[in-house]
Parts: sequence; structure tokens; C-alpha cells
Amino acid sequence: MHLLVPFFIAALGLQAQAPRPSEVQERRLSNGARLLLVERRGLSAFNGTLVFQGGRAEEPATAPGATDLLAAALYSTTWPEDVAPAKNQADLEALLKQEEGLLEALRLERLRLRRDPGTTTQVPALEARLESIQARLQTLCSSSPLSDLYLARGGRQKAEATTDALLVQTELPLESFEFWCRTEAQRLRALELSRFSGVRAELVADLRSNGTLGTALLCGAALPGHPYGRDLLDYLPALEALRWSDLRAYARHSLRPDRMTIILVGSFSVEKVLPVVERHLGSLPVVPEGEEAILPEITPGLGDRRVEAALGTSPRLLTGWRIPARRHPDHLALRMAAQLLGGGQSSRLESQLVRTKNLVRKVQVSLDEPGGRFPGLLVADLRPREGHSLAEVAGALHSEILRLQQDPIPQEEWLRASAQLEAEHLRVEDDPAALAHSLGTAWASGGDWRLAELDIQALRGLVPEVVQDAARTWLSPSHRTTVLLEPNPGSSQDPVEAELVRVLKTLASARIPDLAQREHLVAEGVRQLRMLSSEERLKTLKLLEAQLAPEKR
Amino acid sequence: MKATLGILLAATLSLQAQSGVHSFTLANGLRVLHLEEREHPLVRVRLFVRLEPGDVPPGRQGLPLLFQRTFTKGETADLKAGELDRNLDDSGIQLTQSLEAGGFTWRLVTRSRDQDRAMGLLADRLLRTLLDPTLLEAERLVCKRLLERPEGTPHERLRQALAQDPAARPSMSSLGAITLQDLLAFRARVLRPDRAILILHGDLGLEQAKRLVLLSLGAWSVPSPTTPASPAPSLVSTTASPGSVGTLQIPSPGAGIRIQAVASPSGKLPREIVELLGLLVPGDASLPPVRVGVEDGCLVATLDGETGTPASVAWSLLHDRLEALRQRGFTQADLERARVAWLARRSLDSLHVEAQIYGALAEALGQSATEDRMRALSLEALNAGLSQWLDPAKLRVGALGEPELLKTLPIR
Repeated sequence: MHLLVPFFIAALGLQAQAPRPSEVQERRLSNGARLLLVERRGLSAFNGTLVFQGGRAEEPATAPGATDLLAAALYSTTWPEDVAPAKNQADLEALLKQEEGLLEALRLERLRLRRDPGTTTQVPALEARLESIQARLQTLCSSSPLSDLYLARGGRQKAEATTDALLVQTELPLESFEFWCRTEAQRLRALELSRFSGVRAELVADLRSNGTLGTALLCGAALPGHPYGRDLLDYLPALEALRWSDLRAYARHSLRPDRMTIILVGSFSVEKVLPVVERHLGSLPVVPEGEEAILPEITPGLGDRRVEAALGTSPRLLTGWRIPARRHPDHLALRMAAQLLGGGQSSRLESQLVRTKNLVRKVQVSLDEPGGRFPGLLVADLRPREGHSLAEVAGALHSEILRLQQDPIPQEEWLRASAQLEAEHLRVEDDPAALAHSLGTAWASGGDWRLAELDIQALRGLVPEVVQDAARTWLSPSHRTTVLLEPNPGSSQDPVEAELVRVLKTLASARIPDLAQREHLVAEGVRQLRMLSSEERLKTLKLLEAQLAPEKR
Repeated sequence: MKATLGILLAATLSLQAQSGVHSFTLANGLRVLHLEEREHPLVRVRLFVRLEPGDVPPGRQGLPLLFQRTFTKGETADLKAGELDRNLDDSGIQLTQSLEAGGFTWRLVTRSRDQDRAMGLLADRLLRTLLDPTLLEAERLVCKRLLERPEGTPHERLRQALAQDPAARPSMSSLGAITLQDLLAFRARVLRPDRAILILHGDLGLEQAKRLVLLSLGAWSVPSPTTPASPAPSLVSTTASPGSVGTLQIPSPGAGIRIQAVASPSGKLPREIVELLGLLVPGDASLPPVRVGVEDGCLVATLDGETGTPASVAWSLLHDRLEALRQRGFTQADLERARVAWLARRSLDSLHVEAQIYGALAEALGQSATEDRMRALSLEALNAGLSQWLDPAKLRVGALGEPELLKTLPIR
């Protein structure tokens, strides 16, 4: 009987201190945009978040990286010339057009030189002309420190590109509220993107330097053919070919009011803010809906997949299970499963694999990788201790999954995981930026901001058997993809893989004239070859080499 | 009955109390700041313990890091390995420990109903952790491995490597030299209540806070004086080493050249200058293609060269841009604009509990900028501060890229 006491205490505690649902008020603007308002008294500043549904998953093949580029070129900084059309706006746009033309000419000339080295080059002349245009552009752009309009008013803005959305968070003193509404409306009207070329160069440099990432390998292998499995690194040539006007056209379609939710957290009432928001953001023109992206379905039971690669500086085991989208009834149960496995320092993987068996030194479990709008992944990221193999770690992880599926979940453990999720929810409620982010993500990935609240309410009705059922259904070998990463000292790329890339490129160069298409096919080929064991890869390499002319081997 | 009414009345009064910082000091010297905020049933605690020059003996670079890792994972006198974590997790309490510029920080976030338990566990970790020699060896291995093969993307590794003053950077030999005795002596020297500041924020009243702190940390005693380990290249050294010392190079096949310089402000630089320059420098139009940001209180300048750009060219460009700005300085109009922005920005703290806690801590440490001093700041002082902050001799510089291209760097 006394065993029940902790339950009662816990249950009473949950009711006594259950997080109050944040009082979110929802309104629709005349142009279709949604407004969510959370009133918080006593704040002298506000958080204004814009969420545009879509994100990387909806980028067409011709505009890879568009969401990341918009996050950096349209948002993050607020230059006067981008939001307040000046008398020299026509000059600015004309110069941006010229810059675009020269960048494209340079790109093509460099490609031509790669194909026909030794021929006369136009590169220096084009570079000189580009430099001159960019110098003229600079004279039209703001040059003094603190010309960022928000920074000058004590504010800040950050933008985040995800697979499901573009999220932009701004914080400003309360008195700048109308200024924020006006500025954001003007930014969307103008879509000037005056710093496009610099931002694109920065993104390309980042992608090149960081190379392939483990999670990208996992998503690519686990979600083949779906935009969730796309690695931007494979689309570098297309990204380099993306023009200023292409990005503007994409932004006009994807950042339209009916795909936008405005979230406000601050010390103001809906009566006060609604007319202001309507006047500015509500007056953005309604853009006729274009063709919506049709995304392929992902079959969860694709079979057990396995990838081996040499990457990084230490061994790492990444295991992903294809799970349903956030709206699916099993999703909450899987969230609880993830919590039991890897939430907190006393979770199963921490206590068993890190402490008891001493196999692993670092554990991380995440849900909805890379997004939650479509079926994604539940990922266990494990880094073995010195002296323990990846196979050993994979075996131990498998045992823990079986234990979760088969053995009853102790009540103490269940209550612990529930308490952690409750406390996490409370921490999110307490932080205006986190709350806005949580509501925005729920809307972008689940189609309804209420999911942020409903999840925690539904959690109280969840029982262990439901979690075990979901674990048996979704965390099965047929849904699993395993990526085994071993370091390769002295090089960031496996020598066999490097050779495979060289051979594939040589073979492709003879058959596919378009460089972008060629590089994409090579990347896809490498991705497929990573599914093979080391021995099979070596055999394939020899077979491919045999197809090369002797002097090219 | 009277007692119940008294408690109820006290609770009501404390509910009505206005937010504000109250401070008190325990008999053991622990300074406590209390900020009441009743919006959500949460309590946040931050404990800061200051590191001082002389805390790290010569040849023991990495001692604070190794101490932190061993201390965080150790058993306590009452709780076996994992039990403390389990107790924390049982109530959804978050407890983290970090080594930051200037000292150790413990951060605790708990539902207010679990505040007693949470503070008890913090005290357990702080006062009763056993330093285990086996754990020390395991963590030493981890530190050595991370030194040999740091994790993260090449960009992250470069940034991470530049985060620390070269003089305080651990080496294989310094990590190998650290003994359990060093750890014990370091603990006695550093983990003292008279070096610490505790901040309590959230759903608890002043009297409640006093009771809580007294019960949990009132027994924290000042250990008998230990011989300071001087002279020491300290973690909190106020003078950075010259850029030529330990210039970092991270070979990264396939990557374009990246040059990065980190300027850490001297401890003597007035806070007002640090804050204004943090607003002015990143947006200066003379800097591109060099990008400058403020990270962890440091100015971080980055230049990405196009593929094939010799490292020496990128290197010179970054240095020239920073030096030109340092020589030129800012104008009176820039100063005025930055002052206005700084004054307005303070209201943003109301959105961030952590910023409010940080503000209270900075004030207690005498490191916060004040409105009066900000208004009195002259242009000459601002530009002198800029010159001091961007002194080329004090920059920590590193480069990343193709191994062949790195060979062209002027300083190796």
C-alpha cells in the first residue's frame, strides 16, 4: 500500500503545479496570415516571431539552400536600403542585376576553364568588372556602424532555417512595436536581398569546409529520395548557380501571407496590437497560390540499412528509426520512448551504456530529425569509449531497445521521465523566445500551434503499454538505419571513397556534359556505395576502374 | 491557528512583493542575491565561484578543466555514482556545471515545489563530492584524446581552440602532470564560500530564500589557508599572450582558407567601453570581407578566402582591416548612436531571466556598466579602448584550410 504514496504525491504535485496553459489568442488577418498573441505583463520589451511554413523540404531542385540564404540575406540584419525604398532604389536594383549577370558570367567562364584548361580566359576582366560594380553597390548601401535599424534601437534579430520552416525572432523595446510591424512588412514587400552575393559565398564556404556531416549521412541513407534526406553539400554547383532574381522569385512564392504565422509575446493586449498588425503585415498582398510542392511518401519499413564511412575525428554510431510525422497518434508515445532512452543523466542509455557497461562516453537521443512535418527519424547518437568497437555499442543499443519493447517499464522510471517532460514544458513557458519557437514549430511541423500545449496534456493520459506498443511498431529493424563512422587519421575522407569519387567523376565526365548534373550524380553514387561493406566497396572500385581508359586509371 | 495565518499572510505579502534585488551574506562569507519573480512556478539558481590569478600552479595548465570534469562525475559522500543524477531527474531538476571565463558556474533550474530538494542536491555536489583517482585517470584520458583529436567540424574546432588564452591552454605534458593532490589543493583554494556569489531567482520570497540558503549552504566552511600556487599562468590572466605564440593551424583538406582572430578584452577595460565597442565594431563598413561578431565577450574576426587563396593574402587582409579600424577609431556621432542603442537594449533583459541573473551577478562583481558612467564616457576613452582591445600583439589568431595553403602563412 505504501508504494502508492509516491504516486499520489506525484499526481497531486502534477495537478498543483501543472503548467498553466499559456494564454494564446489567435486571430486571422485579412490577407490570411495568422496572429498568435501571448500576453505577459510587466515586460518592457517584446518578442515578435515570424514563421513561414515550408523550409528546406519544399525547396525546388533549382533553388537548393534557398531557406538558408533567405535566413541570412533577408533576415538577421536589417539594412535601411532593404526595407525603406529610397530614391535610389532603381539604381540599387539595376546594380544588383548587373552583379547577378557578372557573377553568372564568371561562374560559366570558370566552368569552361575547368573543361578546357589552357584556353584564353576572361576571368580577370570579369572579376575587375564585378569589383567595380560591387564598389558602386557599396556606395548605395549603409556604411556607418549601427546602421542596422533594429540594433540602433536596442533590438536584435535572428533567423533559423529548418527543414519545415523559416523562423525569424526579433526582440525590441516595447515602444518599437509599430516600427517592427512596419519594417517587417516593408522587408517582405521589397525583398531587396542587397547582400545576396556575400551571403551565398559564405554559405558555400561553410559547406565546403565542414564537409559531410554524420547526421546528413544518416538522413540521406534513411530517407532516400525525400527532401528530408537531402544533403545541401551534394547540391553545391546548383547553389553556386542560384541567382539573386531566382531567390527573389522563390521568396515571393514561399513567404506569402497565407504561409505566415506572427507570434507576439509581450505586455500588450490583442485589442491594442491587432489594428497595428493588420495595418502593416495584414496589408501585404495576397499572392495567388502557385503549384504546391508534391513530396514523395516515405515508406517506414524500408528494411534495415547500414552505412560505413570514414568521417570525423572519433568513432561514432548513429542509429535512426523512421518514425511517423508529429501529427500521428503514436508520436507522443515515441517522444516518451526517446525520453526514457536518452532524456537526462539517469536515462537508460546513460545509466546502462555509459555508467554500468562503460561502453560509451556520450549519448544523445533526438526526435524528429531532420523535421516533424513528414515522417522523420528518432536518432540515437553514441560515441564509444576507447577500446570499444562500434559493433559492440550497436549490440548494446539493440539490447536496450528490446528491453524497452519487452520488459515492463518500472513506475519510478515512468514518473521520472514524465517529471522531466513537465519541467521542460514549464521552462519553455517561462522563456518568451522558447515559447514563441515552440508554438511556431508546432504550427510549422504539426499544422496546429495547439500541439505545443496538447502534447503535455496528453502526456498525463499516456500509459507505459502504449509506449511499448509504439516502440515495437516503430523501433524495429525494418525501420532502422545504422551509420558507423570511423575516424581516418590525417584525412577527412576515406581513401577508398576518395578514389571512388575520382573514378566516378572521370566516368561521368565522358557521358554527362552538365557539370551540376554530373556532380549530383556522383554524390548520389557515393551515397549508394556507402551502403556496401568495405570489401564490397573495394570490389566495386576495381570494377569501375576497369571501365576507365588505361591512362586514366 | 495564528501560525497558519501568519504563514498565509507572509505568503500573500511575498506574492505581492515587487521584483527587485535583495542581498545578504551568510556568516561563512557567501554572498547571496535574491530576485523574486512569481510569473511561473520555477526557481533558478546560479552559483559563481571566482578563479584568481595564482590558482593554477606552473606547468599544470588544464587543471581547472580536469577538476571540473572529475568533480562533476564524482560520487558524493552520501550518494553513489548516478544516484545524484537520478535524484535530479526524478524531479526534472536541471543542474549543470561549467568552466567559464573567470570562474566556475553552477546553474540550477527547478520547479518551485522542488526547491529544497534541488538546493540540497546542489550542496551535496558542491560540499560532499569525493575526488576519485580512478575517475581522474579516465577523465585525463578523455582530455588528452580531445586535445589530440578535437571533435566538431573544422570551423568549430578552430573557434574552440582560439577560445582559450595560449598560456592557459593545456598540453599533453601539463595534463599528464596533474595529480590527485593538485586537485585536492585546487579545490581547497577555490571552492570557498568567500569566493562565491549565489543568485536565487523566481518563485520564492526573501525569507524563504534565506532559510533555503542557510539550510543548504550554511555549513559550507572556509578551509584553512593554503599556500597559493604562484607564480602562475592563470586562466583569468588579464594579459593575453602575443599572437605569435601558439599560432593555430588546422589542416583541413578540401576546405577554403579561413583566418580567425579572437580579441579578448583586458580586465582593465571599463565595462562601458566593452559594451559600446561590442555594438560598434561588428557593423563597421570598413571591415568586409572580414566579419566580426561578439562571442562570449570577445571580438571574433573571421575571413573566408576563396578556394585557392593563399593563406598569407587572407592573413594580411584580416590584419590590415582590423588595424585600419584601430587606427581610425569612431566618431562622436557613432558614440552617440551606440549610447542610445545600449540604453534601449537594457529593456530586452526583461525577456531573458538568464540576462537578469547575469546582470545581478555582474553588478555584484563590480563588472556592470552603469548609465551614469555610460553618459560620461568620452570619445577619446572609447577610441583608446578600441586601440587596446584590437592590439595586434594580443590577438589570438588561427588558420584553417588546405595543408599546402597553410604553408604560406607568415607566422608559423
